[in-house]
Amino acid sequence: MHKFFSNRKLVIMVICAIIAVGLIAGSLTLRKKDKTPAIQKIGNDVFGAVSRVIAMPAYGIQTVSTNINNFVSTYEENERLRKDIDDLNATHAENKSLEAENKELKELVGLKKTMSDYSLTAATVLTRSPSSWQDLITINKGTSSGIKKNQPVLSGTGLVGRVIEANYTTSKVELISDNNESANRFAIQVQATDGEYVNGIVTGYDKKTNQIIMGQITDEKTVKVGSSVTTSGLGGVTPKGLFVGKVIKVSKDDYGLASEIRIKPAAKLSNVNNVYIAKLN
Amino acid sequence: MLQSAKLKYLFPIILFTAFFLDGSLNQIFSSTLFQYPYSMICNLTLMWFVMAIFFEGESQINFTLWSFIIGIVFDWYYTGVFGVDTFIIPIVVMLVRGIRPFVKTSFLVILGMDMFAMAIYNILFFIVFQAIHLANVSAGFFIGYAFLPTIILNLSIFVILYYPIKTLFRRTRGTNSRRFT
Repeated sequence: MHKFFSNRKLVIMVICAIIAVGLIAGSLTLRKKDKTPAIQKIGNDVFGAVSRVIAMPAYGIQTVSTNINNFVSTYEENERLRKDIDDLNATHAENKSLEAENKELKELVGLKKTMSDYSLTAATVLTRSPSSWQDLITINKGTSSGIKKNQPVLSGTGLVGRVIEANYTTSKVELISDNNESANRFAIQVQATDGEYVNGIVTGYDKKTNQIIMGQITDEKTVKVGSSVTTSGLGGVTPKGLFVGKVIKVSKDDYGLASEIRIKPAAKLSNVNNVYIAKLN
Repeated sequence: MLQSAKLKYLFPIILFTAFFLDGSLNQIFSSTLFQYPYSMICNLTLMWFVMAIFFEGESQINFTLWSFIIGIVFDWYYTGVFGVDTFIIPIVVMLVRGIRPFVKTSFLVILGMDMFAMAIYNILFFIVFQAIHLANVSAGFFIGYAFLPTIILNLSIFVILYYPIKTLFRRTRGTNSRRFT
């Protein structure tokens, strides 16, 4: 029987370990930078294209099954939606006039750009990383559509994550349910009972209860359960006013110093299919 | 007609198909697979490796090389952190290959080996990700809500796919008596 750890094998193993550590350290540093290296971008795009082709039949099956499901519930949904439409039309008209007024007022004051001016780019989710540790999804839009690293990503109902890698035609998005320590945190705010805003940041995500944790809150103000939480626009990367979720619990944090607010996310993070990337104008 | 080992060429094609299907299936069935706190990951790539190691016959596939390549692509496309799967997948593949001569090739043994490979893979991944602070969950939470569901899911997929894949190997791997490389 030959020795399992021969000298040559041992040397190779040590070298591999060193290379692994170097590579990991290198890529963690790259994650923090503004841009992704071209070679990484090209590779990602190529894999993205292959993945699209391979997944096509699978998506076809999905489309058929959702179509059948939709067909069954169409009648009820139609009834419900008809009621909503009238309401929406009125709100839409109101929004238009408010927007125009807002613009005029901004011009009067001389404000050119504010944190609440943003536009949305629609994208479809290609894959979800098969890793239990990272809640990463790959979307089908990249720098060629104007997407940049660190831009916030929304689903139809609310904030879902942030772009962490922008390639030419695909991008990686880290969901807010990803609990890693190096994540770029969102600055968020919630209206207190006295009408003023309480600022804080998303400090984590509790997967057991499906709640976003808002921490580092400095103001000692009472916040009502059920009030809406939005991004605050502080930090200058994320636009102001993106809907995050609703407050469901207010408590002291583990150390009893600052208060901690638990938020029920508006978006369903386990099932993200179509997303919008918000970019500041 | 003489049959050559088609598997040598078929292996990488299916390997990459399985690899990309992993991501797509996770996305398509995400509402079923990710019911927080539970999360299940479909891992066809590793299953394909385990099956191929047991059924390769005379096809002479360079498993270490392929596992290394798929590891790099995994890090590149799925996680963006290089050097994790690049080494973990080869380690798992080499372990399975090291054990293979000592066990029989039967359904239960291969099922067990698939479970073993999945377990080692997930545990190593967990350790590395904890070390670099990308995973921020306790070991208890990991075992209960991610590790066990993932293994159960993959074993069920294995049970369904075992016989079709076995037949595929039988037809494509070439035989001892008609060996062509």
